[in-house]
Formats: sequence, structure tokens, C-alpha cells
Amino acid sequence: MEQLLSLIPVFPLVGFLINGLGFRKIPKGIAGLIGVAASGFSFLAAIWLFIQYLQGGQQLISVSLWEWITGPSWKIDFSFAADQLTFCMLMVVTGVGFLIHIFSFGYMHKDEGFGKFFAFLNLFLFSMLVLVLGANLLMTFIGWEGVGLCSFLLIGFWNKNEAYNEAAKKAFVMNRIGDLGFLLGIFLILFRFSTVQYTEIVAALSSVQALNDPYLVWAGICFFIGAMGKSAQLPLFTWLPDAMAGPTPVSALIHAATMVTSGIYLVIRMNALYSSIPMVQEFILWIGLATAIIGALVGTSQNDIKKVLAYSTVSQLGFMFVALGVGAYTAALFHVITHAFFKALLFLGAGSVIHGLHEEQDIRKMGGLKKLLPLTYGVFLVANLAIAGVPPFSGFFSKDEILAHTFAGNKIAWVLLTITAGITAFYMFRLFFLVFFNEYKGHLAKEKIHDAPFSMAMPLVVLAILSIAGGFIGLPEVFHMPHMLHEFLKPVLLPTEQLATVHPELHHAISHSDEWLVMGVSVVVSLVGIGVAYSMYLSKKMVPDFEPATNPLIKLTNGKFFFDEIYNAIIVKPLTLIASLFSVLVDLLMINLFVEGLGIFTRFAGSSLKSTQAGRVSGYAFLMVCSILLFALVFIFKIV
Amino acid sequence: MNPLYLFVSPLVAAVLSWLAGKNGNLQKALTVLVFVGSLAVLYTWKQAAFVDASISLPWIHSFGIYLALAANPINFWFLVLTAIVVFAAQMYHSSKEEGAVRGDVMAMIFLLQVFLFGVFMAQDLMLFYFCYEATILPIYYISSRYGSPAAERATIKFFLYTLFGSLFMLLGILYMYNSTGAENFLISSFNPYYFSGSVQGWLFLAFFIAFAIKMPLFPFHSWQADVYAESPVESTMLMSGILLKMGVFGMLTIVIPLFPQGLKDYGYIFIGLSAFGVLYGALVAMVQYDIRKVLAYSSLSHVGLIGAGLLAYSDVALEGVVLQMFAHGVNIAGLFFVSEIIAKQTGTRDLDLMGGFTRASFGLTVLFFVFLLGSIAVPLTNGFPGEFKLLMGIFEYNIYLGILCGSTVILSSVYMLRLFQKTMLGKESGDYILSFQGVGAFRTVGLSLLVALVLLFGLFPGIISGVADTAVRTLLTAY
Repeated sequence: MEQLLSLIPVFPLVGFLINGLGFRKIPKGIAGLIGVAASGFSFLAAIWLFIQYLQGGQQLISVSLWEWITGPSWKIDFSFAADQLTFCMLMVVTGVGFLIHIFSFGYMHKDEGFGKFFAFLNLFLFSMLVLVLGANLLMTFIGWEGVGLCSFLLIGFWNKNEAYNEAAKKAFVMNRIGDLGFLLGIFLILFRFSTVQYTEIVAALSSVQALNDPYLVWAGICFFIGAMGKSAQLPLFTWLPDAMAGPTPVSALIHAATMVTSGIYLVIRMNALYSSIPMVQEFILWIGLATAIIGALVGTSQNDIKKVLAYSTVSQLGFMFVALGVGAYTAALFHVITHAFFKALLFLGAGSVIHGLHEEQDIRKMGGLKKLLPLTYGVFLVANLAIAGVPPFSGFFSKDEILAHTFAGNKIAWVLLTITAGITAFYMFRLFFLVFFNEYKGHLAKEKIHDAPFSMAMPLVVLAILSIAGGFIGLPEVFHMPHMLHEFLKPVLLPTEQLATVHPELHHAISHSDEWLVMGVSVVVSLVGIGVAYSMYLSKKMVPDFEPATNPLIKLTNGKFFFDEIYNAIIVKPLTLIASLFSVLVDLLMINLFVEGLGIFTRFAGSSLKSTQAGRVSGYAFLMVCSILLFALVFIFKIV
Repeated sequence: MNPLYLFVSPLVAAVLSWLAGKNGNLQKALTVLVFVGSLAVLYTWKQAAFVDASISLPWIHSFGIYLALAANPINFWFLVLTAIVVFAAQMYHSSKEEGAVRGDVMAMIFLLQVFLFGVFMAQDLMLFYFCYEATILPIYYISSRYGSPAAERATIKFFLYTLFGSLFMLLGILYMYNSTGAENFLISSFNPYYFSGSVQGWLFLAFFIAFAIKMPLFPFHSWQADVYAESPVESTMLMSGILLKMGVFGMLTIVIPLFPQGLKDYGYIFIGLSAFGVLYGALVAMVQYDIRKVLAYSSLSHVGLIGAGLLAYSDVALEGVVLQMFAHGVNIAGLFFVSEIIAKQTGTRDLDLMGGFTRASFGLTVLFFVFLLGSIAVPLTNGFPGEFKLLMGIFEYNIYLGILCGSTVILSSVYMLRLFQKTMLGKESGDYILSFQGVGAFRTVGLSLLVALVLLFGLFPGIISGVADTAVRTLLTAY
């Protein structure tokens, strides 16, 4: 089993190497097959291992390959491990990853960089697998930086376009701000516990009984900064919408289903730490909530189909962090899983629309596609119902669980989050009605518009089925059915549970009547959101203006709350100014002139000493004379 | 095995290459032979755990100056890096276009290799000083003879500046000899207990200035950008890749073990300056338009981190120093190499006039990108283990300095990706794309070898740590 575990990331690595080294030499069809096969083998290996794991009594599988970095009092192995949490992520990453590889085969077939695309996609899969399989913080960090790097490569995939390159760089740099946080967190853990191995950290933390240990609070904040960068939370979220410059399958895989959920994975992985620092949890709650709200508000007035989905992702990630903030780790992971299904579906559906319309992304130029793209329409509807939280689609269950726990944890947060859920339903159906209903507003001849070919249709259908049925793994308690995910994940969350026995105030119980209430409210709010969208965009056939908005509120949301402009004004511009100042004023004028001034002085002194010497070598001569003199002096002194 | 064996191949090659003159193929053969020969000797020593890898012959008997040389676990990686960087520079030169290969340049670089081996193996302070100063001559020769007028001026500045610094070192050495009544200049005859705290302070300052100018650390860096930008690229690769490591080496083997009290008394001032240099170099690199100056300031930033690590008086930081000095040498030499190919082809060093080079050579793009990843310390490249340990050690020394140095994690990605995008990506802005003849087989193999090192030491930093770490840690426990 151990060999198989380390083999899972090797498949995509081999795929990357073959396609990367053979780029331009391998024919397109074969390059695609290699890419798809690499992800497929990973997926199969993961399933096989998962079955073995379940049959083997869920014993931790771990393998240590070699000593990677050793320090004075610690060593960090290049090692993989798999427990319940790993398997949840593993199935999502390889499963959804495989589907998106297949989709890409059809979607990218015309692109000249086809082989390169699969190489990068495989490299991403490798990094993501290292991230979730890593047995210690530093292994996770390898994947953490690796996925950021692949994200850079894939956002800037069409690298003739300078704007895309800028977006790619922005994504990488913002991620690296988070990475620095992650790194500092690792240092703090390493100083305190002399280990970064997850199992050993959990064991070491079990001896810390006091809450809000200041040292651990800082460690928790550092890791959360890492999570903010990777999972696009306020204030480090502006890279994600820009990341939509990449090919659409990339947006589906990296910027919706997998990479951006790494932050949530990290917090769950470190639940033993976070549960002991409620102060930081509170912080996570409010950051997540603010991100959820802002993402949803901006989503209401975007007109690029991918931008709407991007802000929706930002907002949904906010939901997950709210769950983490109230200690509902299972709910957060549950939403990671269902979100991976329906958001990947939405992006691939959007990809199918864009593909069908020959690269059109503006929803104001769509409309009426229901008849022209029937399959895409069908799956998009499923995904929409799921994200809007209509029962019994998967998103309903996971979102409802988050809302229920938030209700138990913090009532204000619950109210705000429920409203956000309503806004979510609104903006998603605004998108849906604008794209698929009323009449077509684009310029293409209708014969030219085509629905997804088989390689694209198959993943859409599979994801649609998962988006419908995915909720069964976590049915709510009031249904008197087993919450499979909760049961499965229990061992991972054991430290949290143990802590709750010592500190009962950490445990938020929710009564059945409250749960029904929460559920009812959320369904009503979702339906209201859909209803408003219906009346505006279907009944009244409204189409967003092409003119810049005059309404200040819409201006604000359409302008994305002007975060980019603000960052530009308070960070980028001043930093560039300081850099230029350093470069010219300090470097050339101050330091350099000072040194040259000394040189000139020396030359002057040199030429006065030895008038026969002329030119610039004199300074050197002067120094030489001095040194010889000094040499002599010292020896004379010694002799004396 | 006798340490003098290491000098045989570069010395012979220096003569032969002078004779070989413009014959590119012969020069290539010498390049490879010396590289392989040096590595073979070094490998044998390492396998024999450095037993008998030392020699001590009287040189200037009346002053007690010895030709004392030894290989040990600490200087081992400096020696290996010397062989690698010299190989890279020679590889660049010997594969230049027909008629551009020069026997005297090749010979000078081999001579430089001899002096560098001398610096790193010297067990006698005067021998160390002699070799340390002598390294400048080949560089000066190459720059004044084959560089532009601007290069000559810049090199003289560099020459005078480092000479100025070395003068203090010389004074320090003489004072040590004089005040302790030592019979000779052997490093092993001195130990910190010979010097009172305040004397250690003065000695620390004297040596530190010499080494800080050489590396250079902020604010002693004003010679750097111009020299790196204007010199023939072989000199630039050598200076950035290995010459500056002499400063690191001096700090590691002289200053830290002999003047620990001085380091404790004054180190905090310079660690602050060094750490500020990390930020400063990165910011200035961000706004440069000369491809070489971007790399020059990136080097200032990276070496600032090494400098801070040297001064942090922490074992983990010193382990990081060894890893990082090695990684930096390989990466910066590779980066200068590739950027020179680009600059030659485009006919300019101005980033704004470049772009789209990936369409000329995808292979070169990959090579460049891997060096760049090493330079910004992405995990699984050689830059990461060193930077990790350095940042950890500095963070342990002082949280704020740790965060200040940590800015390199963010800013290095800003200036390096900018460099990458402005050269390799974007629309092509000239006909240099179509007329590119390819990198050539010899350079492809050589550069691939360097790239392989980037990944090898990223995956297995233990190869370096396993040899050096124990010895490095004892440097701190001596006092």
C-alpha cells in the first residue's frame, strides 16, 4: 500500500515530464492521451488504495522516502501519509481532476500549445497531490508553492497577451504573501515542537490544555495568512478574478475545485491547533463572512460569465471559512466536496458556452441558448440549483450544515450569511436567465453555435450527477440518517472533540427545532433570490447596461469595491516610488557618490604624495604604499 | 591525498589553453577535462573523509608564513562550487562564435581557479590574504582587455574598493600575529581566548569590512551593479558566482570562530543593515531596466540574506549559509549565462526592448525558468533548503529581522517574474526570434547539467548538509 501511495503523484509527474520534454514533438492526440491517462491512473490508484484502506480498518498509511532537510534538532522527511481527511481530498482532486483532463481534450484541441497545456495540467495535479498527501507541513508546503506556480503557468498560458501575464504574476505574488505567512507558521511550530510531522504535532498539542496560548495564536494566524492567499480570502482575494485569464478548464480545476480549497484543507488538518485558539477562529469567522458578502455582492453586477463564477467562488470559499470559524470542520469539508462538483460543473458549462459561441464571454451578448445548447443548459441548471441551495441538490445540504452551525455559534453571522445565500441564488440565476433564456443577442449565425462534443459532454454529465447526488454523504441529523462524512472524519477531528470535553464552552449544540428553522429560512431565502432574478431578467427581460453604471451602489459592486485601485494606490504605487527613490537617490547619489568621493579624495592625496604618478591608477599606488608602510611599521614595532 | 593534486589540472590547463588560442574545440576539451579532473580529486577526498588532504610547507620562513593547504568539510562545497562556476564561465567562453574564443581569457580563468582553490584551502592567514588579493588580477585582465571602456572604469572602482577593504584585513592579520606573539600565521595557532573582548571587536570590524565589501553587503555594494553590468559576462559569472563567496568563506572560517565576542558586540548593527539590504536590493531590482542590473541587485538581496545568516550566531542559519551560497552560485551563474544569450541575440540589455523569446527557443525558456525558480527558492529547487534555514535562523534571532528578510519571499517573485515575462513572454518585438540559431549542443549539455544541479540539491540537500553541517555547528561551539 505504501508503494501505491507514493505512486499516486508519480503518474502525473511522469505525464508532465513526457509532455514537457517532448513538447512540439509529440503529436497532439498522443500528448492528450498521455495527459489524460496520467490523471486517470492516479484516480484509479487512489480508488484502489481507498478500498484497501477501508478494508484494512482505516489504519494511517504512511511512507517516508528520504530525509529531506535536517536541522540541528529536527529532521524533515520526504514523506507521504493518508488518513480520512487525505482520502476525502484525494478522491475529489483525482476524480474531478480526471474529468477536467478529459474535458480539456475536447476544449483545447485547436490550441497550438496543446501538449504544453497537458504538461502543466499534469504538473498541477502532481503538486496538488503532494499538497494533500504530504505527511508534514513542509511537504504540504511543496505542494502549496507548486500549485501556485502551476497556477502562474496556466493563467499566463496564452503568454503573448501582456494582460494575462500580469494576471499570472499577480496571482503568484499574492499567493507568495500567503506563503510567507505559512513559512513563518512552520518556523513557530518547529521552534516549539521540533517537528513538523502532522501526527507528532497533534500529539504535542494534546498536552496544551490552556486556550489561546499566545505562541500558538501567532502560529495560527500565520497559517491562516497562508490560507488567505491560497483560498482568496479578504484581503488577498483580488488575484482570483484576474486568474480567469487562463483557459476555462484551468479555472474549473485550479480556481474552483481544488487549489483554492487548500486553505480549508490546511485549517482542518491543523484543527488540533485552531480549536485551541478560539480567538483566531473568531477572526477566521469574520474574514470568511466579509469575503462571502463582498464576493456575492460583486457577483451581482459582473457581465463576464467567468468573472461572475470567479466572485461566486470567492464568496463560497468565504462560506467555508465561516464554517471553520465556528469550528464546523466537517461542514467546511462537506462544502469543499460539493462545491468542487457544482463549481467545476459551472465552469465547464461556462466553458462549453464559450466554446460553443466561439470565445464569447459577455453574458449581455448571449441569451436564448437553451435551445441551441440543450445539454449545457441542462447541466447548468443542475449546478445552479445546487449552488443556490435548493433541496435536494448537493449544495443545499452542505450549505445548510454551515448555516446551522453558524446559527449555533454566532447569530449575527448567521443572519448575514443567510442573506448572502439569498444573494447567491439571485446572481446565479441572473446569470442563468441572461445566458439561456429570452432571445439570442450575439452576432453569430445560429448554425455556427454547437453544443459540447463527447469528450466535453461526458464530464459535464458525470459532474451533474454528482452535483445532484453528492449531498447524500452528509445528510442532516434531523433526517435520522447517517451523516457518513461526519462519521468518517471523526478520527481526524478527535483532538477538537477532546478539547471540547475539557472546555465545554467550545461546543455549540443545536436543537432539532432550530435546525428545522435554519433549513426553512435558507430554502425560503434561496427561493426569494431566484424569484427576484426571475422577475428582473426573465419576466422583465432586463439586460445589464453597456454604459458605465450611474447608481453608486452598482458602481461600487461593478467596480469590485475598488480593491485593485486601492491596493494600487496604497501599496503598489508607493512601493514602486520607494524603489525608484532607492535606485536613483540612495544608490546612485548617496552611497555611490560617497564612495566615489572617497576615491577622488584618495586620488588627490595620492597625486600630492607622488607627483610622478598620474591618472586613476594613482589611488591604487597610494594604497599600496600605505600598506607597505604599515607592514613595515608593524614589524619594526615587533622588533622593538 | 595531497592537496596539491587539485591545482594540477587548472595549472596545466592554463598553459595549454594559452597555447591553444582560438581553437574552440581544444578549449572546450580543456574546460571539460579540468571540470572532471577537479571533481574527481574532490570526490576522492570526500570519500576518504578528508584524511591526509592537507599539506604544510614553509614558504617565507623568517615570518613563519606557510604554504599550508587543507581540504575539510567546510571548504569542500566552496571548492566544488569553484569547479562548477569556472566550468560555466569556460563553457560560455569556449563555445563562443568562431574566432571569438581567446586563449588568454581561458588561461586567466584557469589561473583564477588556482587562486580560488588557494583561498578556500589556505590554512595560513598570509596565504589566504595573498590568494584573496590575487583573484582580482585575472578579472581585471579580462575586463580591461576585453570589456568596454565603461567596464574598465567599473573594474578599477571594484579593484580599489575591495583593496581598501582588504587593507583592514591585512592590518588585522598583522595585529593578530604581533599581539599574540604567535610564531606563525597558521589559522590553527589562533583562538578567541587570545583576544580580549574589545580587541575582538576591532578585529571583527577589520575583517568584516573586507568581507562585506567583497560579498557585497549593503551599504558596501556601490561597485557591484556597474561591474556586473559592464564586464564581459564570463567575469560577471565568476564574480557573482564564486568570487563573492570568498567573503562568505572568510566570515565562516575566520571571523565566526576567532572573534565571536566581536561578532556579538557589533554583529547586530550589520545584521540589521544586511537584512535591510535584502529588502533594498529586491526593491531596486524591481525597477531596473538593464537585464544584468536586475540580476546584480537580486544578488545583493540574496547575499544580504546570507550575510544576515552569518551574523545571526545561529547553527541553523550557518547550515543555511552553506546551502545558500552553493545554490546562489549555481543559479546566478546560470541566470547570467542565459540572459547573455538573450542579450546577444536581441542586441540589447534593455528589458523594454525584449520579449517573446520563448518563441525562439522553448528549451532556453525552460532552463531560464528553472534557474529562476531556484533563485526565488521554490521548494524542490536548490534555493529552498538554504533560504528556509536562513530565514528560520534569522527569525529565531529576531522576529522583526526575520520578517524583513522574509520580504524576499514576496519581492523576489516580483522582480524575477518581471524579468522572465519581459524577456521570454509577451509579443515578440524584433526579428531576433526567427534568426536565432539555437543554443548549440555544447551549451545545451552544459546548461542542462547546471539545471540538473538545481533540482538535485533541491531534492537532496542532504548531500551538502551531510558533509558540512556537523563541522559548521562546531564553529559556534568553539567559544
